[in-house]
Amino acid sequence: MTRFIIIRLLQTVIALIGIAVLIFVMVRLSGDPIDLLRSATSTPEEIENLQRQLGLDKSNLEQFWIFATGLVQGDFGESLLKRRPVADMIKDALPNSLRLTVPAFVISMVLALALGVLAATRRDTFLDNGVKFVAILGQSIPGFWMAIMAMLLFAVILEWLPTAGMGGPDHYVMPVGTMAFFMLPGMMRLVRSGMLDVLDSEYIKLARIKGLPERIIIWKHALRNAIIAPLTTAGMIMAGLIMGAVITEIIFNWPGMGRLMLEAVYARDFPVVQACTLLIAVMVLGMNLLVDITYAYVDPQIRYEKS
Amino acid sequence: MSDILLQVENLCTSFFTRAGEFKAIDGVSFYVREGETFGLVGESACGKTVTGLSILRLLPEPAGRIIGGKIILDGTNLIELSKKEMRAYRGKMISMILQDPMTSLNPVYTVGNQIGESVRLHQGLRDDMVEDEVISALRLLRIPAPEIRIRDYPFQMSGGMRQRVVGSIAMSCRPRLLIADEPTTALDATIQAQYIALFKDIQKQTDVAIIFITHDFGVIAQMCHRVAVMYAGKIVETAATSTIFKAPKHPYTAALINSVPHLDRKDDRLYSIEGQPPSLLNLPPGCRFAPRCHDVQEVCHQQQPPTVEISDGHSVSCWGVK
Repeated sequence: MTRFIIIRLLQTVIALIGIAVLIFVMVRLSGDPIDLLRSATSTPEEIENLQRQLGLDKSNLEQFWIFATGLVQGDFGESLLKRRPVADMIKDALPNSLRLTVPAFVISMVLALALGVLAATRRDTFLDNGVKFVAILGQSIPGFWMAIMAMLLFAVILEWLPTAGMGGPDHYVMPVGTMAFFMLPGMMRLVRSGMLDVLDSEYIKLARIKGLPERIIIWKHALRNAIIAPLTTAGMIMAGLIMGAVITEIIFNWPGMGRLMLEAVYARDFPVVQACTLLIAVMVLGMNLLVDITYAYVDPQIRYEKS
Repeated sequence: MSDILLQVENLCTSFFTRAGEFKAIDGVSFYVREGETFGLVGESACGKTVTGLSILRLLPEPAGRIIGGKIILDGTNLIELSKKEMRAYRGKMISMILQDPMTSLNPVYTVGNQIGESVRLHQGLRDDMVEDEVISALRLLRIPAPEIRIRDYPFQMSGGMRQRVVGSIAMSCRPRLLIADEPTTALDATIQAQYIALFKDIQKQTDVAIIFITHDFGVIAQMCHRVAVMYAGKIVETAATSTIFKAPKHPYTAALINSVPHLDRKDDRLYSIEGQPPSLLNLPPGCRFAPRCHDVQEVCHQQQPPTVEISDGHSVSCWGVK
């Protein structure tokens, strides 16, 4: 098991190096930031001055060296636009993002498991049909539209919740709710179909023959097998969560990583874009690693194959 | 050997589907004595497995339902028990072995865990005593090195070994009745022979009564004291195993025995019964075997034959038997 984790960690580091190179190159394909920073009347000398100040007069290779050595020391450089260390900007934005994503993730996973299991065990009842309906609705409605409609209903018409921005607990309801709704339907359907498959199996029949109560049959024997398949896609769902975070933060004007990154992309603020993208990559890879470890924990066959 | 443990009387089980009511078993009666092996034999879909599941009251819900009859185990009618009371019988008084050892164990729990669960549930033992019980259950099924095997997962075992684990689960609480639903069908021939020998031995040790469900007359001959032959949801003939083989009375029984391949017979073709069993959705009014029977009479198509006891312990349902 330890060996399995070490190997996966090494793979993660290699992937990160690749991603860093890719980001550095791709961001420079988007155009020259000077075009956005200079005024229409800037003289060639002024432009040259600006380039020197921002370090953009150096060759790409030199720039990469500065980026890479900085990275190793935890220095992400300085924003071209705001002239602030990128690390400080992230320090402000990251906790704000986590305040949305962590509760959204926990809520959606708990609900997905509970509702998926309930729907499968009460197949073709009102509850099951309700779950199926919500799942199809959730998967077919674009998230941003959902968010805007929620805003219209709860903030504008009913005036129960604030429209946008960060503040007290009531500010969290809509952004967390919409983000949870991004992930919930897919996961819920996977848990439901996984449970249905497993409940039909011979080992569940044998568990009943043993005289076990239904509660143990469902939560011990069935669920652990039923979540093996959904777990494999959980990594993808996690990546979706981060995408959802960007959209949610922009709609609800939330000062998190998503908004920081999008503004940086518009301004061609290379160091900020590089740092944000890299951080998101770290989070996605980290969560995938976590999924893999959980997977190995849940399914002993994986554990034995890998060690 | 003479006490009756299980008495099934006029049991009827149906499956209610959109297409209509499937009468999977229709008026089945038999008894099983303590410590004996009773064979239920017949072709696929004749109601053997449904009979077993009805006794455990584990029919697939909500379609399957017992609609009539009595199942009396040691004086208690199981059909009248509440769900909770019935659960206390399962695994403790009655147990069952399923056909396919590759799918009947939970892949994510160790065999020790899966056997221990039964022991803990029905015997209320402390954790340290559970392990001893589990090891003794594995030992009963002659699984080598049970102290080590207890920590194995099913995927680390061969098919034959897994079927022994399934047997250990079934026998872990020393049930009085064991329903074995084609436990040897998925095993290869040598393992099959070992498994049957093992169960004869276990029966001697524990005096458990076994209902052995199979389509294989060879297994019946090795294993069973008495046999009931099922056809399309009804028992057509019941007798001691030796009687069935020597003097089958029902044309279906005779035809079934005839279709077992023999090494010493030099036939070119294997004997087979013409036609198909009737649809359980739309049963004929008379004898269910009539359309395929060689000795069919007028009355066979019109009325169901009564079950007649022609000699001690030998009963047949056929108009041709007087």
